[in-house]
This record gives sequence, C-alpha cells and structure tokens, in this order.
Amino acid sequence: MLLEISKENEVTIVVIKQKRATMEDAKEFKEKILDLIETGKLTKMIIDFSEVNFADSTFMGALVASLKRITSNKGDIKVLGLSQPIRAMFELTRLYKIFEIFDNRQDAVNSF
Amino acid sequence: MKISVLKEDLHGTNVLEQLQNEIISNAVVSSHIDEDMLCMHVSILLHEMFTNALRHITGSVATFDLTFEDDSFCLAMETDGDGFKLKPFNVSGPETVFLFPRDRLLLKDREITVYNDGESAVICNIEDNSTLIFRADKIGPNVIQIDEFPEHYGLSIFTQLCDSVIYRRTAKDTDIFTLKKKIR
Repeated sequence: MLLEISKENEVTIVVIKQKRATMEDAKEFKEKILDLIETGKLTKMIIDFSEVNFADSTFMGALVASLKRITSNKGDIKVLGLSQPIRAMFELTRLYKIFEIFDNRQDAVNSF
Repeated sequence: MKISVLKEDLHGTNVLEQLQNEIISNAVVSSHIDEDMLCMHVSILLHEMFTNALRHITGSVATFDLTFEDDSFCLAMETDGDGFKLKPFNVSGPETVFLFPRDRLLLKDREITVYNDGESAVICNIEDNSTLIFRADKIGPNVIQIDEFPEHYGLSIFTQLCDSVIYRRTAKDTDIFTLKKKIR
C-alpha cells in the first residue's frame, strides 16, 4: 500500500498513492494508520483520496476502524478529495455521517 | 452465462469485467435508469460479490450464473462453503455468530437485524430451513455513536442497490447467493 505521509502545522496528511483501495490493501492500511496514531500520539489526521478512483467496502471498514481508534484518543480524521465513485461509497456506507469531507486541502487543515 | 473460477484466480481474473459488460450490454437506459450510475452500481456489486467469495468460501471454486429475466439481471454465485454466517446487530462476542442453516433452531426470531447505521438497517428474514431473504429498511436518521458504527457493509450495499438479495443452502450442501436488479 503506497502512502505519502506529511505534516502541516500539527495535522498529519496521509495521501493514498494508488488508484484502487480494496480488500487487498485494507489490512496494511489499517495497521499503518493505527501505528501512526499510537506511536505518534496523533490526534489530527487527514486522509487524501485524490488519487483513488475505486474503493471497496472492506477498505471503508478499515477507515472506520482507524476513526474509532483516533476518536478514543480524542482526535479526528477528516477526508479529502473524493472522486465520484468514492463519494458513492461514502454515501452507500453512510460514512459521510461520521467523517467530515473536504474538497480543498487547506480548508481541511484549517478545520482542526 | 455461467463461469466457474478457482478461488486463487478470483484476484486478477477478467470474469468481473465479462459479467459487467454482459449486464451493461443488456441494460436499457431510460429516464429512471442513468447509464453512468448503473455502470458504477454494477461495478460495486460485482466487486463486493467477488470480495465475499474470497472471504467466505471454504471450497476451491465459485460459479457465477448470470441470467436475464423481464426487466432484471439475476446473478447467482454458488460456492461450496459451510453456510451463511449471521451476526445479529448490537450483540457482541464470537458466540453470537450463527451459521445458517446449521444453527437455525438457535435463531428464535424469524426476522433478525444484521446491520444498522442509524439511517438504514438490513433485515434478514428466515424464509424456511434453507433460505434467507435480506432487505433494507429505512429507520432513521438516528444518531449513532462512532464506536457503534458498523465496519462491514456488504449486505447493506447489496440490499440498497438490488431489488432482491437471497441466500439458499442447496440439498447438495452448496451455498447460492443471488442478486437481482432492474436494468430496464
């Protein structure tokens, strides 16, 4: 799973650097994000989907598991750059109810 | 169109694309069926079905049978698994996962909620000793805490996007999971 991790102010930005995010990547993605949250004591994170054009429900489950962990540390994950198919998955799985969604990176960073 | 795929070949096979092309070429776009939306929904459904096969089959082969009737496509996936794992919503612990039809006598209620995201639920109806029928029910919007939010969405996606979602255990101990959806 190709992820690019950077920091802006106190916000960790994780860019998914592949076109598909599926069951094959979900376990590794979850482990990496949980490791970042636990070892880095992170509470402010953005997941950038700008380069992703397909995600399946298993990957969405990994995203929710990550959100549950960071909120237990009083943090939050926000999501950025959802293409139409990814937005459709957020609607089908109702993830829009628990994730704040942004189109613009700076707006996402400033929202914390 | 009937295709059998070895479990180890489910990744990387072009069967998913073959099924998708066959469904789309039989669809009739109209005022209530948008082509782009239909393509996206069929792609999501097929991917979820393949993912389910990879996760749940215990045997070596999955057979996909695609037929068309009236205004719908009907896609049946037959596998040689152990049955259907049913986990009632809001009940925790591994002992609350039932295997249908093996545990059907333990499933006292005929209708079981197996998914709830505060806005919609998936209800499993135990039709008889070998059949489960799933449907989506609108229940919300209700507030749901993040730590209670579901992490598995397959049945919710199937029931939202399809007109019929049925599981059946056959007399020869195979599992058949069938989706039906209007495309005309």
